[in-house]
Amino acid sequence: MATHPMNPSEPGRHAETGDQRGDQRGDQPADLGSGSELRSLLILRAAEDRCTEQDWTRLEAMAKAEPGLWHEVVLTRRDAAALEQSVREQIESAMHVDIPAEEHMVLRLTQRSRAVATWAGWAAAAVIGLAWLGVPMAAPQSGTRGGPSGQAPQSAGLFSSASQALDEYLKRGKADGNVVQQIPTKVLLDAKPSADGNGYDVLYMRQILERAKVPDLYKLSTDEWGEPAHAGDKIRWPLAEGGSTAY
Amino acid sequence: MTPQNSAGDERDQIAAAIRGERDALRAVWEHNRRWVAAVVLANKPAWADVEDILQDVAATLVKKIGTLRDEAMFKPWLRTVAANAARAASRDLSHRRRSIPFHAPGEGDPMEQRSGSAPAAVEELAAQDMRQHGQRLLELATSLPEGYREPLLMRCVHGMTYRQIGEVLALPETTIETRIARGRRMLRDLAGEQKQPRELAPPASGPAAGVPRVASVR
Repeated sequence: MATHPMNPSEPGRHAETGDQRGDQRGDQPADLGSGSELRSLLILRAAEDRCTEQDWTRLEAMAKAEPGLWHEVVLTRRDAAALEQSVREQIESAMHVDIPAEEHMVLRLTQRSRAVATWAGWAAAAVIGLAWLGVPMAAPQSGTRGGPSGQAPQSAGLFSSASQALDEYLKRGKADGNVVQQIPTKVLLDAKPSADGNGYDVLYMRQILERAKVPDLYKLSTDEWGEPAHAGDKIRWPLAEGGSTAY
Repeated sequence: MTPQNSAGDERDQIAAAIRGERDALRAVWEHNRRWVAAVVLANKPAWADVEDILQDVAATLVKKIGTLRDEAMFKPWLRTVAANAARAASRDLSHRRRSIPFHAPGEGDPMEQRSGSAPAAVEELAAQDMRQHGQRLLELATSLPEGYREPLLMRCVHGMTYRQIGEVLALPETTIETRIARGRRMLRDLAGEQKQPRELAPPASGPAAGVPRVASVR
């Protein structure tokens, strides 16, 4: 509960809590104190048309000793209307301010990147570990180090575009058994409006699921500088009987 | 829709916005940007532009809303973002207002310019006086301590109740009512020291000059 802004010992301290009496504007008057605080509150309520019967009775009693009180109610009402108009003019021009679209995309990208990182966690760690160990990612059937099926790579000049080369790679990889499939969903990493004003320049990650046979798997840890490092323990599979654990 | 249903719907919408749902985020922003603009108005330097600062607030909302853990803290959090952005504008000259408002009192007196009927001219003059009075009150209101000027200006946002102001400032309704009552009285006292231009001669210096600063509430 917030403390009262006035000196707590000041006479006429307004109570922080009170009975909940509703009114037409959804504001709930509370119990009042006495003195100047009461006066200010009653004038405010009269100016805002929120007085209860008890409030009017109190106001009339005060006004008998202080006739100028009604004039103050009128001036308070006028000031409220004038201030409201001025504030409305100041903020009305800003009402067309919308959420920026670019930041929107950054927000979604952050979420997607997090999701990808979570999903690919173990698999990614295993791949990093294999790379660190310098283990070749040999195709399980060809036994050839490096590329698929032992054939010499085709010259880039034989492909009219990168996408054609990619299609060829996927086709041959599937035939050789080291490419499982290309994941249909592309992961958007960055986007910004194009300089020419037409569309957006996007940076995205293409995901290709591949299979490999390796001699060993090791756990990864971090060294004293926080860099990935070999933990020294082989991963021991709790292999299900008759099968392997897919990931 | 009952107030409870409405509050529940708003909470669900805020939760969806925290999860990153675009439509919910836009709806939450549109629902709250008026009072956010009032908070900006209460805390910005006089020369800064509300619209520019509001754009900064919207950008921060999108970037940081995902860090919120509790929907109930959304409004107080957004209020802090708005107040900080407004204060930061004093260090950033790019928010300096692009246009200079208005006419000094007495300039372009509509009574001299108008060739229409006298009652219409009087009405227009009264409206102009009201407008100038409102502008003067706004300048004075922004000189009040933070604990008074924010609820006072938020109350000017159409439809904002004491309960809603209390949710934003994390204060009870009764405290809000007390602060607005005192704020209006302080404003009345400050305005009374400067008098209306038509009643007395205009002050020698600008309206905000020489206005005594009241000690901070906190």
